[in-house]
Amino acid sequence: MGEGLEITDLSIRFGGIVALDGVTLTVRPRQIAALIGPNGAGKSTVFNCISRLYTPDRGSIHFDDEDLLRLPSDRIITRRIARTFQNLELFKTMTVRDNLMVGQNSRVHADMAQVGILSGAALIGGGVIAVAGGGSVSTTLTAAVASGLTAGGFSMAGGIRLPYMAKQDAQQRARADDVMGFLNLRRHADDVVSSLPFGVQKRVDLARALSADPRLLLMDEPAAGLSHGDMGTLAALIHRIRDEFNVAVLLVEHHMQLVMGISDYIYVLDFGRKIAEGTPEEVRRNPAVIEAYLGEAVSDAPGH
Amino acid sequence: MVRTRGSLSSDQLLRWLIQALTIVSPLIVLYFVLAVIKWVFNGDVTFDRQYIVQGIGQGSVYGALALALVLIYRSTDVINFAQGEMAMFCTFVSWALITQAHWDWYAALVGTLVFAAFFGAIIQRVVIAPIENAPLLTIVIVTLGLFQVVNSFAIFIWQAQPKSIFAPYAKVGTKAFTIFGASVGRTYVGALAITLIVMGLVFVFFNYTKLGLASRAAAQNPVASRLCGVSVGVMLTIGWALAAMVGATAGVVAAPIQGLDPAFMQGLLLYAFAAAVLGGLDSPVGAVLGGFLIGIIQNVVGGAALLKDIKDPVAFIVIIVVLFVRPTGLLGRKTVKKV
Repeated sequence: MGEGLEITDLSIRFGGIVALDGVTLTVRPRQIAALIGPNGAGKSTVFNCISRLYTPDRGSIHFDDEDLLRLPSDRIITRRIARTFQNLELFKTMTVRDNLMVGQNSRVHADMAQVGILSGAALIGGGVIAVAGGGSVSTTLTAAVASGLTAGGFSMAGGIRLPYMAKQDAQQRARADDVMGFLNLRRHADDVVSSLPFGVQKRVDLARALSADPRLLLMDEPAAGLSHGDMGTLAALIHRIRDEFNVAVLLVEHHMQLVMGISDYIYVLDFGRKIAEGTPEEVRRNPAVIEAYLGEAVSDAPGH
Repeated sequence: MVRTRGSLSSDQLLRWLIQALTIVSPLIVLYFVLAVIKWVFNGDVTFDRQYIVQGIGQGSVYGALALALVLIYRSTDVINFAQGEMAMFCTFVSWALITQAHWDWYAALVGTLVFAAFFGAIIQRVVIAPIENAPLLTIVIVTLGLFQVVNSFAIFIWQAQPKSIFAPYAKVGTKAFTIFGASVGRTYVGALAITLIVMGLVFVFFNYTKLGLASRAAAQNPVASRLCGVSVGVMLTIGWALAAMVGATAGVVAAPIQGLDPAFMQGLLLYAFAAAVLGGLDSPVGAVLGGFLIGIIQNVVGGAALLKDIKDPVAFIVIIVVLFVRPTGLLGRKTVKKV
């Protein structure tokens, strides 16, 4: 056990189909690792297990020594693991900025606590004042509840903020701005996502993941759908993300040139089994990998 | 969080114009339908503008109930058939607070809203959440069952005979309200004012609070929301609580208009459905607008002596014509399925 992501003996089957069979892999802090393999090899299934969308039948997933399988999917982000999607699961009718604000949502619980504290305080305060004023039972209750609701409403709307919360709110906005700046999205900040071209939406997806300040970034086919020119930038971008955001990257990718160019370490899956691992150079020479890819040469060969 | 951009293009102006036209289109359709009726029956149909204002008041009740339906529908695709009965139950609670606990009417309104929030949340947690993964139709049928259960319990507790509630804004002996030279019953004006406040609060919640942002996200894309740390289950519970509160508001302001009995919401629910469909089932603003439009159509047509008996058919003819042109409703979005 140790720092980073440790997956051991991961197995899952859907009905009679074995999707993953004893997959073991590790991603160390600040490492760029890639998961490759022909279509249907189980790459996305690994991601969905880490995201806790699937529960594996066997095996373990640890991140910084914490057992992720004990967490529901909506808590994974709080352990600072973020992901992007092959099919861009964005909030399409919202603005880019709002998408990034949802991306930082893991702190909304603190907000709810604040709303609770403020409305509770106002409720008691309102009640005390009404009693002191000699009101009847019903007016006392109304005064208490009404002031509680008002305070709760105001604090939810951002009218009242405890100092700690105000600071955090400003931090979140600043972070969203930073990430948008980094990915050249500032001028699209107030645009509705569905109105943007695909390439920009892809950046929004990435920005949303980065806005959560992850330690591990899972990227599902970042090159899919990009033009040849964008591909060169993508390699540089992933390096910059690793360096500036201090994050480990695990990517699933079909584009061999990209994978070989940027990865520190590569895992190869075929039919749910890990058939090879190593540095790009080792993997390139591995006979098992060559065989797996030759069988699928038409659809998955380099240059796809 | 929601900001319009500074620059204004002619493109945008055109889009707003089209949107505005879309919104008033039912009234245009109504005009033509009435013209045809007038021509066919060669009748003398006169309209009093007081009915427009009264229709807005009545429509606010439809709009509030439609909003309650939409709040649940757009996050879960479930039409909650029990929404009206839940509102009726809450209205009885307010009646009990007023007549038995001797609360002030406004105090009872606040108390009822708090009750409604818990009522909605508990129903979601206890009845709906456990069958979350069941087929949609199953859940809808369960809400039908809920309709029956809530209705029976209301009769069991408060009996079936009608009760009357007097809203303080419409005390016996007070004069009717005059707006633009039209005199309107104060029950309608009060209903409009109170539902507008509640709708405004719902709007602020969804558009200007983080919790509102999170619940919009959860409604739109549950999986992505989860991975962003949104607890979708909690958001659904909040949605049901909000819907129950909005529905209860509709009930509490409708009771002084038409009297309170365990069946008094059933007619209203039908119009609320119509309002929600007219406005677009996934659009809260559309639901409210739809409510106003139906209220106006109904009252304007009902106000003309000749047409009094066919006010409901006329309302539904207008809806059908509008939906023929815009199947997703006035402000509804087309859903494009991935193939």
